[in-house]
Amino acid sequence: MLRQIAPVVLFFAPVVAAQESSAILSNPFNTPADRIEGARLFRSQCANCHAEDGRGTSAGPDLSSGAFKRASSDEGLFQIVAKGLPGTVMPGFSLSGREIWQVLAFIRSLSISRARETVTGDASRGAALFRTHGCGGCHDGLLGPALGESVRRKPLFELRRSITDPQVEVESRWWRLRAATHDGAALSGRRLNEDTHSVQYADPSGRLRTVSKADLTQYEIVRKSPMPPFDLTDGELDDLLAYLVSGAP
Amino acid sequence: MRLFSVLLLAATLAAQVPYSRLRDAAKEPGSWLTYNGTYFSQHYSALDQVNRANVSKLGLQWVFQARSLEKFETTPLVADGVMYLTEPPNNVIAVDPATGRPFWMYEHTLPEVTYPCCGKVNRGVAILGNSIYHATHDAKVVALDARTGRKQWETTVANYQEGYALTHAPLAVKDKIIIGPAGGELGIRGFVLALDARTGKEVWRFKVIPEPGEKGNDSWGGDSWKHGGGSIWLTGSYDPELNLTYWGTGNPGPDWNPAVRPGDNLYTDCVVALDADTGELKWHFQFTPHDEWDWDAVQVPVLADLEWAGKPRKVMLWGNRNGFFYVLDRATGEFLLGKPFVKQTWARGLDAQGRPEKIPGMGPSRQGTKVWPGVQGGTNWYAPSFSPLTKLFYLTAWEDYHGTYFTWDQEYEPGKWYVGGGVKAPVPPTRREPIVTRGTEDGYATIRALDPRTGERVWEYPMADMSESGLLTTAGGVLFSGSREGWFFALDAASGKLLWRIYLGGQVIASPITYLVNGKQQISIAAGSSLFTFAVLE
Repeated sequence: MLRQIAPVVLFFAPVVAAQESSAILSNPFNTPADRIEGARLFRSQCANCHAEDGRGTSAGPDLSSGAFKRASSDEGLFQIVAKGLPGTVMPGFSLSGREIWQVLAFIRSLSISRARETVTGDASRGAALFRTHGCGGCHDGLLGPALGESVRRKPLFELRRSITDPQVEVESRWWRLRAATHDGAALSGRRLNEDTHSVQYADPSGRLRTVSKADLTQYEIVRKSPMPPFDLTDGELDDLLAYLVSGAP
Repeated sequence: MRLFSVLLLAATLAAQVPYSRLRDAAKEPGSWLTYNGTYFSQHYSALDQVNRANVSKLGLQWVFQARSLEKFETTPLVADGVMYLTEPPNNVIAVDPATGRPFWMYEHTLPEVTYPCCGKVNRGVAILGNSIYHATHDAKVVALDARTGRKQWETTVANYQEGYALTHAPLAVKDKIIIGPAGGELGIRGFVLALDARTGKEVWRFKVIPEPGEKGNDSWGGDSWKHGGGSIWLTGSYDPELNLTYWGTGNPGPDWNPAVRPGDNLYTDCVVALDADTGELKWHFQFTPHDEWDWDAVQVPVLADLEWAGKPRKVMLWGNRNGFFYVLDRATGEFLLGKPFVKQTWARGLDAQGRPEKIPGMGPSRQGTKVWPGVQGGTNWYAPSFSPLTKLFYLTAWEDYHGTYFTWDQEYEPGKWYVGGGVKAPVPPTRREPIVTRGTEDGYATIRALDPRTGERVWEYPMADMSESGLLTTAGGVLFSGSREGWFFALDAASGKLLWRIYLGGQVIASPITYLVNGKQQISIAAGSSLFTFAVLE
């Protein structure tokens, strides 16, 4: 009797394990059909916070870049979908183990498709352009964004646009402060944080400061980027992009 | 004789908080006996030791640190020298309000996963007689001995695996404990349920979504009523003279695919007035018929007795998530006044019955429809306040806040999310991080004082970020509130002028309470993961 049952048990064992435990470290449901089902589930269960394309909203982060803040392994992501994230609005979901794996297969596929965007330029020529134009003078993480991981995860079209037209989208964390106090002092720098009563900023020397709004006679947020538009040929732009996504800067 | 005295004392102790004390809670401002302070839910206290003149001398008395990173939405009760508060997910703690030292703790054992939509939150408890009543994420109501925290009974009111979760403080009325379930994003069907306070047995049940053959079911096309939502996730109010209990109901489901549920979708987005003895529906008023935006009418029903057109009138004041402020006759449900209190772009106005005149084309769409207010609404569940002193209605409003609403098809699957779309909004629904660098064009929170007779704004106190804090006004002429930024502060209730503030660091997502300890007025507020208590420093 036992002998007859055993093959059945073995046949189902991986599925059961996938559903009931975190012992499986990589996704057992990752076929094209699984990803299609995952896409359907993602739209119905996840998209109201993470957006249909997975790029995120104010309620939930971007899941399309391949990098995740709270987990990196499939197993870790599985646990988050199953149980939710304490202290956030991310709930646990009433999905079967198989369904969770399918959702994860879809989410992983988002970053794979983005990675397929190819750069055609020459990274070493791009490095030379980076030096000759003095990009590193501002892109130090203090005055302007450092060109590390966050830049490499940006879609190419956005990266290209931020070089040819830096004013199109200046993220609010790079907005600058221009203010004057009651005693006539002028203040400027990068705005780091703000609330009803105060502004936190980095002055031009990089020193971190807080100013009370009650002490200000003038207060302006400058949303323009100090970065000039660069007059590059298409070829030079490709080279620069190749350098930026190479991880070198 | 002595034995008789002892027995008498014991009997007195046994009825620690009888119904009569709840009914007359406004006359006992040294306590805070219900989630909303009194049955009228005005979040107003007759205490005046802390007032406009000395509120700037408030200082910290003690801090209670919760063991949780979840949103800390507790609004404690204070009765007979004990404070009862909840800690996420489902723990109840009795603490000494003089010192913050805990007396006892009840830790509810939850299944590994439960399904509250938006955080494993709990907003508080009810007290009646000698018991504390607590509602849980696995859809249970538990009665605890107020002296020990020992469980007296436990009743399961729904199947949590189908998306039902209890998050609000129950309402104790007479000998009943009234409660309802969250789950409007998971295809539940809401209800208001009364349990026998002594036994936990069901006494009556009002179905928010009427079934076939029941009045109101014809406001649902086809079978759409089956997963119609209409959740209950905030404590209602009660008028002892009318014997009516009032509850705000949640959004219809699926939230953003209204095409599959033609009709008004009763009794979602309503206030329902129920006979407290039988649960019979006496009247209802629907704020947002056929809601397309997820604008639950889950707000605190604020009851007030006002002069209206020269005559005293029993009214209900309601700042709704849909952006309109309403005044209703609470005996009949008659619509008396309605006016937008924030920017809104979905309705031309309200007709003579208070029904919105919707602007076509403002519902969710495949490409997205930009609408003011956004999904969190012009206000939400955080407690407003009415001060009989100033005769003003106060609420936390989200001004100039919009959302882009999307729709898509979705089949119902038991236990899963059933929303049929999504919303992109420029600001997060709740605090995500302590760094905020956005611009004010994305919306901002503001405390607004409205004249309930006209709906006109008297003053406002704008903030840089959004706020999910409730309000408290007092006979000291002070309004207390907090913010997402982490401030807790006091305003002059007559003018809105800032009188005092302290930075607590974590977002305030609860309501302040006030009470007496050894004859001295204290104020408590949850912020971040802690409960802070203040009093005037000598």
